[in-house]
Amino acid sequence: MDASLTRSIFDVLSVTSILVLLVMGMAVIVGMMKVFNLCQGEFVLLGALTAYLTYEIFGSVLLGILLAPIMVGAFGLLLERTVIHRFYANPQGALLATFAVGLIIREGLRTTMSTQASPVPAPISSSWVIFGATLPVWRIVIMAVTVALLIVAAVILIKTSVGLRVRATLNNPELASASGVSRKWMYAWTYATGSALAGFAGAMIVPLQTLYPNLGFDNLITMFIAVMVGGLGSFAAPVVGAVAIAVPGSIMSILINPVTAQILIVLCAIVFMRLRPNGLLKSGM
Amino acid sequence: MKRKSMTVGSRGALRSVALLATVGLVLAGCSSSDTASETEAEATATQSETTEAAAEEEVDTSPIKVGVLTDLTGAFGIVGQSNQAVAQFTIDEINANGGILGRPVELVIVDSASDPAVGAQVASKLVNEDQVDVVIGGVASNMREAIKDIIATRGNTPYIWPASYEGNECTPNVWNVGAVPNQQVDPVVNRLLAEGKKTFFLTGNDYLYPRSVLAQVRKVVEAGGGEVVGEEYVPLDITDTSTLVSKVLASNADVLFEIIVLPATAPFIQGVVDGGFEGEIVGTLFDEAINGIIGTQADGLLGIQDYFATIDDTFSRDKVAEFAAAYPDEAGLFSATFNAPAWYRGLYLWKTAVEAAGTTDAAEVEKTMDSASYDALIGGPASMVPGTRHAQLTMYLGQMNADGSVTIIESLGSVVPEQCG
Amino acid sequence: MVIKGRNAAAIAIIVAIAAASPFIFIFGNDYITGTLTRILILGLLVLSVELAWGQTGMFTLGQAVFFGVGAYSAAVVAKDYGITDVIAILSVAGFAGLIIGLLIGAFLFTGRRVSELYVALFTLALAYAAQRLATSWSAIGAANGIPGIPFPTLFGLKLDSGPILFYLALVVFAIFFFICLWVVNSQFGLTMNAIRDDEERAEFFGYRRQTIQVLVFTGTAGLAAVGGGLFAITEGFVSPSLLGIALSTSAVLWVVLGGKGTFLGPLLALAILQILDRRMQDAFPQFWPIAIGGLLLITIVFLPKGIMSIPQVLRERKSQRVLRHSAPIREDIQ
Repeated sequence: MDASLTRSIFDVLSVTSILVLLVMGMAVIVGMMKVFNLCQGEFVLLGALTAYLTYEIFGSVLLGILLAPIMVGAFGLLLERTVIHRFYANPQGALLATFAVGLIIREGLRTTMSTQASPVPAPISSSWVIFGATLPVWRIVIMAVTVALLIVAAVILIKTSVGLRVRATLNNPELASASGVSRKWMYAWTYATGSALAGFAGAMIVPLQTLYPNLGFDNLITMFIAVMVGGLGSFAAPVVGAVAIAVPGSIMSILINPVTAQILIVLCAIVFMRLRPNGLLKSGM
Repeated sequence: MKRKSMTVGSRGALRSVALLATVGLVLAGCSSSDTASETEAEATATQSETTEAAAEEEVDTSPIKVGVLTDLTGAFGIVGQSNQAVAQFTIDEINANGGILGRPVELVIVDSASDPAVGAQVASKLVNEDQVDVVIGGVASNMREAIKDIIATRGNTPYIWPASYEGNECTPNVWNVGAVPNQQVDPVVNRLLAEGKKTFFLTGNDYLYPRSVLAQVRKVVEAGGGEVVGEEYVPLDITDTSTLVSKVLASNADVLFEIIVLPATAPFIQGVVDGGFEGEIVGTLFDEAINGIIGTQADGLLGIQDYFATIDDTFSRDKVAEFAAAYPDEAGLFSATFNAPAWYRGLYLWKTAVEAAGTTDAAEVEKTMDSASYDALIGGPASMVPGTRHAQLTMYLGQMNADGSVTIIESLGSVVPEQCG
Repeated sequence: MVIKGRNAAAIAIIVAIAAASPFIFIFGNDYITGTLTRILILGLLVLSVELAWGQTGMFTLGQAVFFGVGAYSAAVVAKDYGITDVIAILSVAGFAGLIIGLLIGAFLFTGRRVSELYVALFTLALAYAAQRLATSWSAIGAANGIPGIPFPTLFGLKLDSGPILFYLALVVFAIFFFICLWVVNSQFGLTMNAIRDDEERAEFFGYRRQTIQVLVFTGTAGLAAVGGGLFAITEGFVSPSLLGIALSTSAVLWVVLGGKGTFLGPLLALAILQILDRRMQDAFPQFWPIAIGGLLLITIVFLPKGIMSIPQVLRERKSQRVLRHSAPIREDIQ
């Protein structure tokens, strides 16, 4: 295998694993809870910000990666109890409210940042040479972490009683509360989990994208398209959707060019969304 | 069917009165201040007419108004705040030295919020409400395109565009004082070709500036016997440049000429450098402001600009030190890619033109600005090349260092723009 | 009675603006006139969002796409083909909007029913794609857009001053405002509301849901496009941001702040924000965008029917105090 082909395969895997990592939080909030969370991108941004701050203050990005899910999860919990919980019966309201929250976070950061973009180094900056191609280790770490998180999420959702209760509450709130599950806190903690996952993803990817105010917003549309292509109603569908747009997207970027690839992917996704409104997996909308 | 959500209803008339009252109040608020400024302007006009008529030696001492239009907020907010500080610094300096034509200069600052539609609005405010004598500003080219007609054509007011850009702006009343592609491209590409580096990979974001600069690169490379082995554009909002990095690495080019703007600049350069690219990396956007963001991978990058902090010019160094003392918050941001030297230059060239014309009148300044020239400028002397609406600039080739500083490799002297011929 | 009152209100507004305008020209200047002209033009976009979303329940987060299509077609017609007649330009702009609107409307609303949120995300993605396309399409100026659009003419007369352009915008706005009121008050308007309130029930009662949705969507696209066309010829430039997410969401924001389901509220919100915007941006450049977000959030949480419902909310508060009702009733999950 030559270096160029190795790099191409590596790029496809890397781009895909990053999108899957970004989409996981959304799979919980949009996929499972069906809350159209337009501030999901800003959760990613807050995670990235946490990593940046721990790097600036304590000199450690790794600390930020560990702290990000806790901080952003706590923020998500707070947001759910103050704002989001009012809108479960009013999805349009949820969409507009989360848009407003996203705007406030984004513009707030823009006001406080003193550069257009701030770099955050990867905790591991070395490279491996495989088949003559120099591959950055941090991207390999992201692939491994993404796969590990997917397995953990699947085990929790399918095998544990917590997972069962979460799925039961989201699928049939009345029945679940009749069986003694606290709906209020089940929703709150699920939302917080989705926020924590987004925050973690933000801290993981910020070394590859630098910290800038539109970091979340620039990723948001792709994330939403992944969810729509995959479908709602489960954790798995958005993840499948992410793979389904990242793989052809990155292959087209390699074979044609990134500009055409981006427009083609958005157009194909739009048409696909109409032809199969329920996505690749399951029903939902 | 009950239509409960229609609230216009029969109370509509009452509400419309409330609406009108509100709009009326706000408008009254606006127009009262305008009436004031207009009366003032009229008074000034009458005053100047009478003084001219009465005795020529009597001097008009009303302030000259300079409109500053820049992106104080939004995507380019950081650049705009730096621009504002440079404008204030320059005008304070001019005032400290007696103003222009013996009149004090005053700034009217507006925020175009990184949005051309907002820019059009505030440009109209500067020209029609504040009635400024000149407008300087704009960060991105789409801003210039949105405001130039409102200022220069419909508003008949001189407009100074202080940025290095893609070229071909030849509208009357518009003066370009930043570098154009041939000024940034030709010297460095010819030098690389002479060093025996023949294969070039060109890449940039997908908009006019990178495309125009890279077209110029292609022209010079092909004329000089070199070869373009790859040319690739990426979207402005790209988040992951890894596939582009791979293409650059696979090309094994001798030179990578790149114009990838923030925020993708740093990840892209880091990817290319860490991936083991062995050729030269050249760009028109490398300087002290960007180096810090790229980090240690900036080591060895080549940039060509109208100013670097390390140029061998005492005047520039002293002035920038003065600026840093006056505006400590913006001190680190006095750089070529933030257009700081171009703002300073543009204001002084206009001052020269007004003094030559003896008036701020647009038609007169249009004649004198055509050949305006000034030596005491940051980055070195500059002069408008008659008939081209562009400035001949002193250019420098610099090599970036890992610590963010720049080593000057060559002072290229004064380079003539090839524009509006 | 209802219809009379509403039309009377609309007539009162238009007449009052027309009557007040000479004073604006005397005491104001081209900037103030320009701001008012822009409010009238964006008013057309607001009307189109209100018709689609407030009246028919089609939650469009991409209405600026049609505004932009109108603006770009007007720019191309005026600049590249040298046609400056205002009626011709606006017809072309409106027609372009109708065609694109029909294509997208038919694609979205025929066949299987889709949810409001699907429409929202679809149109949002559309706005994103449209702006990206315009940014990289060099034939229409790519990221720089199209500057230097000539002033329009009417029967050979050049419309080249602020006040004249203002009256042009006022006339166009008045025409479409009345058309909107007429449509909403007609039998067709009742059908639109029926679909908004419950699509399935409307279909069950025999309304042709698909046809009506496509028709309304196409119509609102045409309306937004006429607004875009006016924008291009009065402002003299177009840029990709005109058909992007930012303008689309702003239009929705004005409707939310003003009160979805009314015409006056959104127009009032637009006027206040446009006039305040520049003053506030100059006074608090760093905090104004954050304040806009905060304002939107507060409105959605505490005033879901917008500023037009303030009197109603206050009345309800009062009567609740009298009746000693403790808490307002909410449809919360818990």
